[in-house]
Amino acid sequence: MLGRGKTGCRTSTNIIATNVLIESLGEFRFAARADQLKDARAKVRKVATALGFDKETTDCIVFAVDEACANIIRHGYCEGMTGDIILNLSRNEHELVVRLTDFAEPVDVSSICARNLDEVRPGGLGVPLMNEIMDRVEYLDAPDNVGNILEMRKRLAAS
Amino acid sequence: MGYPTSTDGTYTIVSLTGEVDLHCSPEAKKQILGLLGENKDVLIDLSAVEYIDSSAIASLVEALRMAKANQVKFGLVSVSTPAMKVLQLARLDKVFSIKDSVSDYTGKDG
Repeated sequence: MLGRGKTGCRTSTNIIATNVLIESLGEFRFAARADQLKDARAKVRKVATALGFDKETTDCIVFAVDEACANIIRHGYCEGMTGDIILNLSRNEHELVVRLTDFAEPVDVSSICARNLDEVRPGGLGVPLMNEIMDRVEYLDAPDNVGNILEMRKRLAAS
Repeated sequence: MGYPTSTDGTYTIVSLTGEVDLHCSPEAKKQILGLLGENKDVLIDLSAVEYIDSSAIASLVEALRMAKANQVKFGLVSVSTPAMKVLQLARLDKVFSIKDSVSDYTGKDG
């Protein structure tokens, strides 16, 4: 099950959160449509590679972020709703930090359960795989309760 | 536009290519389930898959179920490294029949 953490404090260049300086590595705003996912994956791959993750880990990070974006498209902006996703990539001393902001209805975090991967059935794979790949996955409180912010963290290779 | 198909013996082979994600997986699912719905034996060639997401994997699981229900054969062939990694992460690499080549299914050489 995913958790909801403390509110993040964002500025345009750097983010100060829990006394750790975070370096911005880029922000990409795109329409929440499946045809946009390829470009989003390319952005994540470029950043993860530049941070020194090996190819296998980079592939996994790309997969986790893609799954999170796909969940927003399928379950957030559902039933013909349109909107954007903001993909924010940053790092602190020890971690890559990926934040996905959407403007869909706030998610009831308690309703998101990671299914048991040993069950063989179609669907529901995204959340458990995101949890398995990333070191931390949590929803942050969105400003004014508009939309959702999903934050995922992955320890840097040298940490 | 569908994915390329070919036949070998009783098998219809669907070759998935490139990045099979939420944008492309509905087409792949429709094509694969359509063939199984015609009670054909189906193999999915994953040799040219560069990326595969959970929606595509879910389609393969659904296809496997349908094949069992229809009592036809279904398997994966020449699974690329990126696709195998996702199958392993999802703990599905032992659930599907996976072989190196079509001839491993048909019993023909070459």
